[in-house]
Amino acid sequence: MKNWLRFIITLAAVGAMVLGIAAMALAHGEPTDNKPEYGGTLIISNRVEMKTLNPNVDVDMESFFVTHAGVYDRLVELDTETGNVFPDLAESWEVSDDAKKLTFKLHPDAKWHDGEAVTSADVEWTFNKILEEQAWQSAVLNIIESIETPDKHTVILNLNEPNAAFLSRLGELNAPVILPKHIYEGTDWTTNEANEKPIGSGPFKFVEWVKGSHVEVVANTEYHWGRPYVDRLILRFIPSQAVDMAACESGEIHYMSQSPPFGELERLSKNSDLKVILEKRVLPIWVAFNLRREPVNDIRVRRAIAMATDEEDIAKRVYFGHCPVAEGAYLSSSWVYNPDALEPTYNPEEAERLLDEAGYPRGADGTRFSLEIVDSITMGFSETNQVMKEQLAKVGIDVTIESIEWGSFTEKVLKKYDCDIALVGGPHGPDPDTFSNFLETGKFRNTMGYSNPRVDELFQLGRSSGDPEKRKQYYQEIQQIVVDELPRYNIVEYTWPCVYRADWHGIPCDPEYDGQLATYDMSHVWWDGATGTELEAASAAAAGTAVWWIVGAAVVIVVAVGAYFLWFRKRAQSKAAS
Amino acid sequence: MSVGRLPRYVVRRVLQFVPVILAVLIFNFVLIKIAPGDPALTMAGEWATKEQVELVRQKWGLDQPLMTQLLRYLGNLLGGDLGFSYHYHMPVLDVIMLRLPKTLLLVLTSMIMGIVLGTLIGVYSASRYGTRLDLVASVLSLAFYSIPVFWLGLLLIIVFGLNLKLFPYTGYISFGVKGAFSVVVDVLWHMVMPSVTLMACLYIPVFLRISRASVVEVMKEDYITTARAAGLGERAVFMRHALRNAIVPVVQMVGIWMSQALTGVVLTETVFSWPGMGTLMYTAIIMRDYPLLMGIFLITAVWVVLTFLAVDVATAYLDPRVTYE
Repeated sequence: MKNWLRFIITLAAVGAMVLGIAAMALAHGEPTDNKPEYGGTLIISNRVEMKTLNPNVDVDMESFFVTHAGVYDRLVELDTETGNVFPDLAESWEVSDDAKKLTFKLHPDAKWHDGEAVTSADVEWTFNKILEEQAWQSAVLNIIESIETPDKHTVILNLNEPNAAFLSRLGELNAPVILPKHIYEGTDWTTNEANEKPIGSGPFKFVEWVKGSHVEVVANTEYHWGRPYVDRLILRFIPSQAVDMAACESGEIHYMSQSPPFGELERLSKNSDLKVILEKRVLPIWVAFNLRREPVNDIRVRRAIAMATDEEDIAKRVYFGHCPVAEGAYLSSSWVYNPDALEPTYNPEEAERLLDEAGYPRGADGTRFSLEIVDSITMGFSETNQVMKEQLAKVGIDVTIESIEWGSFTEKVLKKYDCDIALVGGPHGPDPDTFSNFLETGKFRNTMGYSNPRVDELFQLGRSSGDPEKRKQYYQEIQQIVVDELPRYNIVEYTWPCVYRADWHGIPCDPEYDGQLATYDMSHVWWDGATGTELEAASAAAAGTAVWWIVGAAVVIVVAVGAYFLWFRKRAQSKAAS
Repeated sequence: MSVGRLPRYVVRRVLQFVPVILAVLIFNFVLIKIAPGDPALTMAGEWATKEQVELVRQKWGLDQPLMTQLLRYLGNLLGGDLGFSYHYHMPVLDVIMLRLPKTLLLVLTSMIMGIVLGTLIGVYSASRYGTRLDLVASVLSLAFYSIPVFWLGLLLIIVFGLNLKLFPYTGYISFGVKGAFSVVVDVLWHMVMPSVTLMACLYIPVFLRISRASVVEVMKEDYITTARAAGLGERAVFMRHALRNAIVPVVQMVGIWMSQALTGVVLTETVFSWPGMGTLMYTAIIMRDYPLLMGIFLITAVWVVLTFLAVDVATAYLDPRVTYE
């Protein structure tokens, strides 16, 4: 055989061997039996990188998987769907009959990740700091009159007024996490190093935050409620929704923390590697009238607009039938839902009659009047707005849509009240008192300018009563007043699509764990393929795979260059000979 | 040209840039302030009370008159302080320095490879002017230039990332990678798809077309005809007489594209989750992080003026008709 040919074959064989080794490095083990095992790395995607890992310092919902679910504890946790309260740092609690005093017993084995014991002094310091700085969570804590710490594991919160909802407020997503006093006291808590490298008491310990890439936390094997099943939790920042979906479908990430578009759900549901769960109604999307402006300050006009809105059509076209139509002022899943207090139903003929009666007949061009509806692109309601525009045009209302980003939206709607109608969404629970943020006189989110003394009184009564039946009566009366006066009306009950890999279990939206887990509780998550040693092998393979591919590519290039060189030389020799 | 005049020229140009940078800063400052959106409200959050929003406003000095805020900013700038990011709770310079190298790595690598490949193909295509090869190269370059960057990026992700699983397509590094060599290799591996996207959609088509057009035009010049008539071989004619003149427009185009390097690839960065300056600027705008936005504008303005200075110097070096006056 000619020398050059022998040379080429040798190099090709070496290249094939290298690539074969690379292929072996990519091999994974087969999944084990379907029961919880320790091990595995859960990779969660997030569209936006968090600002800080101290959620008490700044509003930062993006960090919740790492902070609330991972590194830190709150006093209690909450399932935002059912309203069930779970122990977290506190193992037990008592609420006084007058709902003015809450006594918490902290778990005696709770420790900070640096080994120090968690004590009541940490809770006291955290709450006082938030109140002193009037940080964003002071809206939750301002009701506290004083804090007592009779011993290391007891915290007593004395409220300045009765509030039966306060316990669940402490477990909501905007409730404070408990910070280590010995780390933060005497420092500037906005620039403390622990905001980037947190030391908490939660089920996961902080490992690293690679800016722009990911945050990694590892299981806290000394967690006072028992170590989590999963070894590691990684929050990966993927700004593009399309790439986020692709990454989940390919297995590069395991759980999409932000939902995919409704139009993709059917396709994703057919993928046997994925689970697509439609969480129960999470929040309503509603139309908020600016009662300071004509013509929407007229109840007849408001009712007409509500009747001209075909909510079934919106639910079908915008949400692909996945979000049910809203009929009342509260979510239908709320324990205080009033089935008799129903909003106006679709009736365009009646809408036309009401508008005529209100003194807004059709003009020569068929238009009665013009309205501006503002929505925030960030909230994702622009399509709903567009469908509403079509529907209202049928009854002679000319709608101008303004879909703007969140910063502009807050200024225009929340600050300047510069719109006729705003299309918004927001939680009304799980505690029914949450609705007061949007309706009570003078509350910041009451952008409508609505004021009804009886409604204010009912909210106050609901907060201060410890009797669920009485509270239910108060909130049901509120619902009746709201549907009668119609400062706003709900369109759909937004259902949150939850998408994750089918070989993972225990994710809070998993129906197997319905009502048993707090929202963002990741300590019960487990993986089918967990063996306890997967983590190290996966990390090494991630780096090794790239190296082997590079080496393989280099070998192929060397072979190609060598072959060309030898051919060229042979050709030159032939020319010289001739 | 006189080499000795170069330092004076550079110093003069740098001094001229100072009022330009100042004007850019003042203009952007005013523009940001008059844009809709209240940073205090954004920072305080939608659940804040009015009192809390005012506290935030006072804390960050946003209740001060515009001129006071501007003068304070410029004064701090003289001391090297670019301010403190509202959103990231870090000095602005630190935030930018975390992202700037990643953008430069991606863009400069893609640009250099794109310029080399595009120019080589363009020159070769020009040498085969009018042939089928030339036509194919022209059509393909136009086609790829017309393709939206994000569309090609998503297509590559679907084919090579999702289906073939050949390349990673999110982020710039894998988890748990340790060791300098492994980190370098891993980052390069992550760069493949975004780089290919940028090269295919932007740099190769642009530099192919510009170099091809430039070479074709130069090869028609009288002095080329003279050189051929003098008996020089085609290779010598091209390398010694045509190339240097043909490369001048290419150099100028490099300057233009280089000036956009820092914030011009936001779509690519978003699609590939590449944590660069483009996505940082987008976040700063959305979150009304004024200090960060001003810092980005300042860095970008300085980058642009330095780039154009380099292009001017290079042009004067290549073209003896251009002087340092």
